[in-house]
Amino acid sequence: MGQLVSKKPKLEINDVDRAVLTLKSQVRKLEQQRTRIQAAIDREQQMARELVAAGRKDRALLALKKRKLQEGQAAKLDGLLLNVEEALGNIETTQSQQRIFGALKEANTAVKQMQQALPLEDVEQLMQDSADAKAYEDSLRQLLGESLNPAEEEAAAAELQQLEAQLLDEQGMEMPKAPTAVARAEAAAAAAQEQPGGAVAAAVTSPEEVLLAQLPSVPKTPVQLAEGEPVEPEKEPAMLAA
Amino acid sequence: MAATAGLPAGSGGDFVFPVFYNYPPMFTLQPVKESQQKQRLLWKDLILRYCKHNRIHMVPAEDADDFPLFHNRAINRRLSREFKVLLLDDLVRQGGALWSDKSQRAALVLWRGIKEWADVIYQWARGCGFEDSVVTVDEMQTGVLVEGTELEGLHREVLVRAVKLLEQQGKAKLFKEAAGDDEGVKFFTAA
Repeated sequence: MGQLVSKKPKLEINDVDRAVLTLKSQVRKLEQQRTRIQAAIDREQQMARELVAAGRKDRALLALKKRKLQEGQAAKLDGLLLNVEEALGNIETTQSQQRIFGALKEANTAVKQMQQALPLEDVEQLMQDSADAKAYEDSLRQLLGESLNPAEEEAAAAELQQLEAQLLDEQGMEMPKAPTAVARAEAAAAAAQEQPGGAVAAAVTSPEEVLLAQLPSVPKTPVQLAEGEPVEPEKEPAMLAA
Repeated sequence: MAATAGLPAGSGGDFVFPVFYNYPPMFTLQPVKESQQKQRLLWKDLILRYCKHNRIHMVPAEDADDFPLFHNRAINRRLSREFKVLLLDDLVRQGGALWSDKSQRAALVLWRGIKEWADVIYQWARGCGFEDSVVTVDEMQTGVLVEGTELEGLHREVLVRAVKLLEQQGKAKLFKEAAGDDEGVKFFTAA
């Protein structure tokens, strides 16, 4: 038991608690009074009814007047009760506001402390350091990259030549099979869609193919014209000159 | 002391009395030591169960008081004042009751120990969100706050004792209003 008492935490009753208790006590007393007045009202009402029944109008009127008086008091009491309840509510609201303010203040202090633990200069230094490290790495990579380049470039150039040769060979073999420029272009586009990787190759080949496919059709027109109308070829040099 | 055994009419109707309650000899103190001990034990148990069932806190011991339990109308037997005092005294000695005054006119029957009541009160206060706020003792006995809870109608003495226990545990504090006629309890968050 002694141990219990010794570690008993502080249970403080402050002025606010006392004020709340007083207000609550007032509420109780007002409610008691209200009950009493209500009983009086009911009593006067009953009495008035009995007096009217007994034919004593003047006394009945008096009882009714008393009732009116009591009702006025009851209304006043109700107003008071409302006021007290409001005061109680205000206390509670203010208390919680204070608590919230305290909590916010604490949070603010904590944030400030944490910010102090992390000064801006340190962050700047850190960012600078990491930028330096990045620059160092970049230059290192450049150096290493340069040392590797010549051999790499040679190999790449050789491969490119080989690819170009291969491409030309394929085109030369396929040429006779291509009947129209449109069909070729369609086929090329389909190939490009099928293999995204080969898009570049397709893009490179298609204009050439179009030209090749169109070439044979070029001489046909003058030949046909020459056959159909002999007058026209004479005009042609003039047109060309113009 | 108000509210002494204010037993509502018709209550206790569904309480099942033990068989011995209808034996006339049980209403007179037995002269033989063993049978008397047995008799007192049975009565003690009955008092606790009866009070718990009917939520009675104050049991009167005066001759004039007609506490229903101590008066079996069916067999027209009732306990004498001496017998009642003896029984209640037994309860008091084992912590199941408290004399409400020195002249032993009535006893508070603790069918639930003070510690248990303290727990009930604290649970109630937590449930209502009363930590760090003030509740009057009246509000804990009657009214909207306790309607339908176990606290409703709890005897003030029991309530105050339980709150004092909570005070020792650091969970509540009983204090008086400046004018002095109302008591309030402030609840604290238990550490």
